[in-house]
Amino acid sequence: MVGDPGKNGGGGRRVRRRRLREQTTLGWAFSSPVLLIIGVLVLYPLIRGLLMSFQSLDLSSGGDGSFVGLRNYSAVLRDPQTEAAALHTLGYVGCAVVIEIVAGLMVALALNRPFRGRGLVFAALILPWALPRVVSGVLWSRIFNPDSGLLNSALIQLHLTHTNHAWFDNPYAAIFLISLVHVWGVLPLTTLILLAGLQGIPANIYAAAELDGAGAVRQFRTMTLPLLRPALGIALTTGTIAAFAIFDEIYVLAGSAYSTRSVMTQVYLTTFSGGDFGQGSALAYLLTLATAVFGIAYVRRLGRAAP
Amino acid sequence: MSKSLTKRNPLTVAAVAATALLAAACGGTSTTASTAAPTFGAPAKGEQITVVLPSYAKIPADMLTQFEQQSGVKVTLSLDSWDNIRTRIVTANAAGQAIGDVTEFDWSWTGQFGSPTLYTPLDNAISPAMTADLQNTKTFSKGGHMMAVCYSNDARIGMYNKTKFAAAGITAPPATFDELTADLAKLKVSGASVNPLTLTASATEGATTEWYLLSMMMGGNLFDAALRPQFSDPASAGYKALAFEVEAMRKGWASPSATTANDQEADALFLGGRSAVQLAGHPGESQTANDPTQSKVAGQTAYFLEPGTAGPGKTFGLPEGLGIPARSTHKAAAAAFIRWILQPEVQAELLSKVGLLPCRASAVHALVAGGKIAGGPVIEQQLAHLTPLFPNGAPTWYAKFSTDASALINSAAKGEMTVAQAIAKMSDRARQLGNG
Repeated sequence: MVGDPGKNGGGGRRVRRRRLREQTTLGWAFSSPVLLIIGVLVLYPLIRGLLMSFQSLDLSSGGDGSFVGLRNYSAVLRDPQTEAAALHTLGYVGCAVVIEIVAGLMVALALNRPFRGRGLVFAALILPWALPRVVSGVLWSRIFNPDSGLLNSALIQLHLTHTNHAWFDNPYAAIFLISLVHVWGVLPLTTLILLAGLQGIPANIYAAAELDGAGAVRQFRTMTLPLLRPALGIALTTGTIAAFAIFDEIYVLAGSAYSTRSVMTQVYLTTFSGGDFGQGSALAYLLTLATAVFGIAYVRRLGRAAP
Repeated sequence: MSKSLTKRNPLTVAAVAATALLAAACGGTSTTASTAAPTFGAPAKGEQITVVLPSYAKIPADMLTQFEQQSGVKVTLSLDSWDNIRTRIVTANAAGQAIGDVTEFDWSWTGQFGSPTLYTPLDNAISPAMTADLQNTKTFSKGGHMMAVCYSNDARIGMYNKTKFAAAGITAPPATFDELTADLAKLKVSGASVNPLTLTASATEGATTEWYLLSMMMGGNLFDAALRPQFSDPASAGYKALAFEVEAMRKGWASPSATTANDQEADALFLGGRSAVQLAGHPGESQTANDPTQSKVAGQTAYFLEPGTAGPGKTFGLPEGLGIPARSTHKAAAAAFIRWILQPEVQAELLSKVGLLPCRASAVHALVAGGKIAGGPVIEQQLAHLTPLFPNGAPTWYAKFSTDASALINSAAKGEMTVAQAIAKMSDRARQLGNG
């Protein structure tokens, strides 16, 4: 309640209130389709999944949907396969994120300079991103196939080896190669994010730095990298989330082999092969939690405004 | 303008939305359990059913038209990969839905899906005479009910490449396991085939299937009647079967791709002329192998009896059945479809057009007698050695065991663990699952 501010003052406030109401209405009208989509496609599955993680939903043992508290969480955490899958996932995340950021930065720096055919390079760069992961997995499986794959064939033609290699028989090589296939699909997004960051850096500061005698390396270290921190934060976050959720490439290239299973593969096997939606949901929630921890850490560390 | 969209109200809206979503989420699935087998009346004219089958069992359109004309029921055929169908059944069930009115029902699903809350008991869907004529009914039975009806009598039978055997100086296919190993060595050394054995040792269902087969060929059973593992002892068939697979990888009898290729990709090595022996061949494969549009070895292959320790070895059936989901709303029409597919003339047509071996003993015998099955006498002899992997149907935990077993076979084949370690883990897993 306000005092009597006079006729004109009261009228002005009424107009402002009406405008605010109109803006609010318009805001809700524009937001409601998105809110509806988020509600149906994100919020509902999120709540449903959370509830399922506390229920007995094992098809094999006639799970009746009864509330079992934290039993599903306890079961998946005690499963030695979860620990192994978590370590493999960290391997994928480590390999993929490092390669993505380093390679993405190099490509973004190259594309940041005008040159002939830049448009073509852009188009070629986007292509792997447009392909579904399963398709890129199948393409790469043709390359790594021990019998008829392009890689063995090329190595034999070049006399670098005489026998066909099974590239996924070594667990470390398998994780590295699967990470590479994953990076092939994610690199375009990382590059675009970093390129957008690079293009947001004013050109005149480089000119000033050159006048001050700063070389290219120093400019990169003291200007480009610090100013690119917000973009790096976004690239790291999206890259990490994608790597934590790695599944399609693994499943196509190595099936459900123990030595390459990620947590997401374990979620799939628990839920759809084992038919246990309760434990599968619990494991999926633990993965979401781990991903969120990494994401928040990146945003807090790198997502702040540049100095 | 109403006050419903003032600044304070978004919270209310969000709370209402969240409550509604929570209520919907809590709604979950409800199933009605029934233990009595239902009866099936006549289908209504113009009724429509969806039949979900694996891609390799595509029933030709002209055959479906025959059924539609006979019954008045319209069929929509939905084809998918075998694995996808299984995943779709599991997912649809969690959502309280059925993926079709008639679906694929594999032998290995009996334990997991053989519940009246998921599938309709079919005891009264077909006549007692038809049931008696069907092979594998026990494989699809659980809780005293027949949960599915066999439509494809899939079993494992040996295939070999006569041309490659001749090139290696071998005049007859192996009759025993010792002869098999000697032949594989000769095929490799002679250069007739660089990797003569088709083997699936990837972390896929095909790897467990092949291990079961090898164990049976060596004269053993993997589980006893109480479902206790029988493969822990180094002298057991299961142990020796895995040791053979590892030896085949080490000696180069099997291709290095065996650790990543699924069974269909492995089959392609035989059809492409790279390998010379396929132990996990199947009835109907002769058609594909002798079709020049699908095979590079047309006219070069033949069936042979699975070699055993001292003569023909046992094999096991992987019959595929048809089931009616409990949530189907067209059960009478679905049952009519199942009855139709079991007609002897339909079974014969499915063999000639799709390569599916009939499940009715009388149909198989008539086709063999009429010379209508390529390699028919060998197939009939092999079927005499057919032994079910689980005589009383696959246990509820089969899918979990199979997933872990394939991963362990894969680890042993890649040398990540020894045969003893892999077998010990497999035994522990089987015991753990068996004990609930």
